[in-house]
Amino acid sequence: MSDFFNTVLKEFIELQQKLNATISSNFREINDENMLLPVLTILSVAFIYGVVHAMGPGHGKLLISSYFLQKNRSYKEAFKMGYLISLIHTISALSISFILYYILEVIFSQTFQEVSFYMTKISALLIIGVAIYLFFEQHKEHIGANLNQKSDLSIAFSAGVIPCPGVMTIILFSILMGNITVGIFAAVFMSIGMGLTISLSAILATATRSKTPSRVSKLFPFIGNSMILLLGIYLLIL
Amino acid sequence: MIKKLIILLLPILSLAHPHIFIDTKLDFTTKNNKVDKLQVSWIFDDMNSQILMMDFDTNRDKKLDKKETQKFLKTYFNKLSKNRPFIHVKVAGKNVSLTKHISPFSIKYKNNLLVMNFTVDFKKIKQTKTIDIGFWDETNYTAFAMEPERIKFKGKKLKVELGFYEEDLFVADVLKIML
Repeated sequence: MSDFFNTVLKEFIELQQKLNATISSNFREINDENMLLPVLTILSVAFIYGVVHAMGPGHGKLLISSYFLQKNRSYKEAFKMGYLISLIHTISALSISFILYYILEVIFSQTFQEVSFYMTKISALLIIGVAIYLFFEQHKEHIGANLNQKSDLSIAFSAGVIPCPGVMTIILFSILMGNITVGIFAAVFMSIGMGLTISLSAILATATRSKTPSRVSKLFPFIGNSMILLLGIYLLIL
Repeated sequence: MIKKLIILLLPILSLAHPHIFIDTKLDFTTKNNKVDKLQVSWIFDDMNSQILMMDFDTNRDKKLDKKETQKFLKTYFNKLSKNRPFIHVKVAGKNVSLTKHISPFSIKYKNNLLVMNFTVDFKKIKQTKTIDIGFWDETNYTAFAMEPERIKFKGKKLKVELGFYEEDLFVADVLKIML
């Protein structure tokens, strides 16, 4: 079992390496005569890279699934939330890359990790804040709180605010290759891929909830929210 | 102090998805059925090679001179993790400290890729039964890959086997040499 797990993990890392290399080599192949094929390859590989990349820790999957365990929601809502997180995650990465490169002109490879560190702390505080708010709401309305649009947005924002390092690397590389437009499109496609993986975790949580007998699922708001709170604390002290 | 602490904690964030991919190349020289020396090349992926060159090749001459190399090693390898430089060697299952046997790092930029080279002198390392050689970063920020076609022998080829080093949610390639 352990061997199987190791092999899968190793394959998973190798796959990311291959996808990463395919994106960079296709960036090098772009020229005035040869544009379409490398660009299409970059975009489709960026999409797959996004799906795979978001399978790793981070990217808000635990948060969103704990959130969707709490109340009956539709699959459509779960799907939309996954994409909202991915969108914020990518916008955060794009803006931070541009600020670091064009405005601050820092040692990128070092600063980019420092920035990720501080953004994770901000995210942790936001997550704790959202958890406290949800506990408060649950207490007010007893079990089965009304999870409204406001809490959806706060959840998506608190998870998405951490910039995606994968997107940052691609963006910076595209700037260095003199092809920033393709880089931005690659980031968008990567984010569509990530959204798919993140949505899937929300959809799974929704499905789990709907298939659980109500005498058990009435405990889910408490369990789910406690998981959110613990996640926030963990990210804060990490 | 706070900055140091933060820098030590940083790589933990990356967990299981690596952001730097390194292909390793191993060139062994053997003598009397023992390893005499090992030349190691770490080949960085294209994306990170470009980003690192942007950061450290400050005079933009497409190579890292002595000063730039020092800055690179200091900022990148010494600061970002407490247990650089990722080299793990065991003889007959026991860890061996390499401090006295390892050459300084040299860095080359070739075919758009950043390559870091160093040599491990095995002459004074007592060799019995097996030698395990692996490169890994516990934080998984950097992922090292070993491939049989990048492992070469000068002198008699020793029996080798590629395996894993494993710990919770973490796996890395290890080359086992049977003496």
